[in-house]
Amino acid sequence: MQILKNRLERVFGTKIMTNLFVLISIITLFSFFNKGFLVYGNFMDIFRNSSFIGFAILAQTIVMIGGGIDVSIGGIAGISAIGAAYLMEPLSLPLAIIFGLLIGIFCGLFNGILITRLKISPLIVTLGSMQIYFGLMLVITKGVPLYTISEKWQNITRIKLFDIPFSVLLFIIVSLLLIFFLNNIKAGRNMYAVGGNEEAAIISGISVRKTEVFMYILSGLLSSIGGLLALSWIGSGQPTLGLDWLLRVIAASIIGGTSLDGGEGSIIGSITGILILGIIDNGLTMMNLSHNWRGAFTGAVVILAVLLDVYRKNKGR
Amino acid sequence: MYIEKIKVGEITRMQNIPNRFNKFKSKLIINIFTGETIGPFMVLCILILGVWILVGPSFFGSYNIFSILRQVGFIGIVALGEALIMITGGIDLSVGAVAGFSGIISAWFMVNTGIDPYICLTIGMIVGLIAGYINGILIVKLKVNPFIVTLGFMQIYFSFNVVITKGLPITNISRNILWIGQGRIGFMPMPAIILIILVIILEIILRYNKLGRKLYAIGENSEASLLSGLKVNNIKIAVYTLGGFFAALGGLTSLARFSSGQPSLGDGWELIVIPAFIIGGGSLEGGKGSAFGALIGIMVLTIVKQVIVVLNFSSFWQDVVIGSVIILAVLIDILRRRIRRV
Repeated sequence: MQILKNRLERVFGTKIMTNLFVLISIITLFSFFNKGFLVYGNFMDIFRNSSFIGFAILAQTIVMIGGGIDVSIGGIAGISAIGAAYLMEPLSLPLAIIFGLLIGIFCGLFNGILITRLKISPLIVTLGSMQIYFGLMLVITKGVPLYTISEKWQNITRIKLFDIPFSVLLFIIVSLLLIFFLNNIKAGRNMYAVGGNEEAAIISGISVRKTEVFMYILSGLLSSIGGLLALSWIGSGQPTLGLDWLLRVIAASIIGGTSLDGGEGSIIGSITGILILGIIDNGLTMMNLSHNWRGAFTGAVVILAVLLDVYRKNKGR
Repeated sequence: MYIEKIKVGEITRMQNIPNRFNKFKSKLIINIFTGETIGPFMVLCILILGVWILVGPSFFGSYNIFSILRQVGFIGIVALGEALIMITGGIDLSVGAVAGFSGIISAWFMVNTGIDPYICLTIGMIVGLIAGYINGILIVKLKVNPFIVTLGFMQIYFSFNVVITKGLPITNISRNILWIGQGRIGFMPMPAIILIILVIILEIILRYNKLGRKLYAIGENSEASLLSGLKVNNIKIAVYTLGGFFAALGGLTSLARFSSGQPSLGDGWELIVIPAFIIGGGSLEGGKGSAFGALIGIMVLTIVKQVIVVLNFSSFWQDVVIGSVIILAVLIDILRRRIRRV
């Protein structure tokens, strides 16, 4: 009996196992209330809807592993999507998309340089740059949605390969690449080192500046991919695209076991975080709950997750 | 790279030694621009001078000043609460949402029940106190990260606002309480008067009272304060509770000003209040900043906003300009600290 208990504790002690347990229990709960919930099609919907914001969550996870925080991720996703939408008619489609990605990289570079060169707190810098990005979106669109998205780009998220939506496949591929990058490549390992203990990283010869700037650039690129895919799915360039991503992005990373102090966290953990939020969203919609309540539920889930995390850490001590 | 910096500093210091008068002069100038409260005040003065040159004296007409003062009023009250929290090294992102929530709750009571409007206002303030207290308990007792907890509560309260109002403004609130937001004594709008009284009280407490000094001590080094016998936990909880109370006060004056409970009341205030504290000489690590500084920060941001309106810029540019001002202000702050170190 004791052995069984120890074994159970070891399994459920890890963050990812806790999340899987939570996932299974909410899926059981929702499928109990809804007959249409536990269906292949519905789950593909959940995966696809989560995949756009999922890229932004991957970005936030990487930044948080490196000991920073990027509040402007929603803004970067929005501005690169709007930029691409704006350029789609004068330029060709591929050029516009490349330009959108470049905007994301540039925004990340801007954040990274301000944070590392001038040693300003990342929270304040990205709070300011978030305002700038969202403001620029309003300036470009003049507050009216852009309907210049070409058919081809709109179809990109509607394609299915092996009965799986394209954006989900892309998300899986990118996640696998990032897992490989973070665990097996020196630049990725450096991020954990910088986030865990910056001074130790300096002493052991890691260039903290380069690592951090690279981290913010990567985050900008990933968020712009998310924004461009969301643009394709929505089919119009909304001036408010990405405005409500902030809480969900940080929440999913925290639920997934990424620490705000840096040095801790994993891609798989964050993916379980996305899925928990996505499934709750979907389940509540199917239960005909008003959209207005969903913010409250997301907030409550975040606080619960953090409390659970604190409880787990205290027990470990 | 760190070693290099120290060397450069020492060299400049050595060069300064021979000429004592020059040293005194440069020190005076440095002090004016880098002092804890004087520095931000100079930023405000330079801004006003710039506006004078750019827009002309018409900007400082009585109507414009009045409108700026009124805007400074309710958001400034919220900023004071945030300043207290940030001096002790915490952060509260939910202040805007708490302001909105208490305003909406009190408007709902005024319209849907026959309770005396002043009691409804009291209910709103109690809501603010409770919200602050919950934040404090979670952050201090359970040691949860303040950033995340308050972000979560921000979402919850905003969601409640939309649910309670069903997305439409609550109108027909009692006329008796409107003076809190719309009244004026002489030239000063009521919210600004409340704000100035609060700033004076807080500034005296923060500078000359034991309790005020304790807040800075906790912000500077929480563990050392604990070891020297301060009741760190109780003080921190009290500060978060007070932050909630100030947020509610700001929300209620704003409710009275617009004479309706807008579902978006308080939306985005945290993005003004936190940068304002930083502009006013505060730091995210705690132990720095003042109530007066927070007031100056709010004034800077409000004047910049008003300039955009007066210059007839498209209002879409507002966010871009405010964002740039935030980053610029932090840059100035960093520069200021570097000069002082040398």
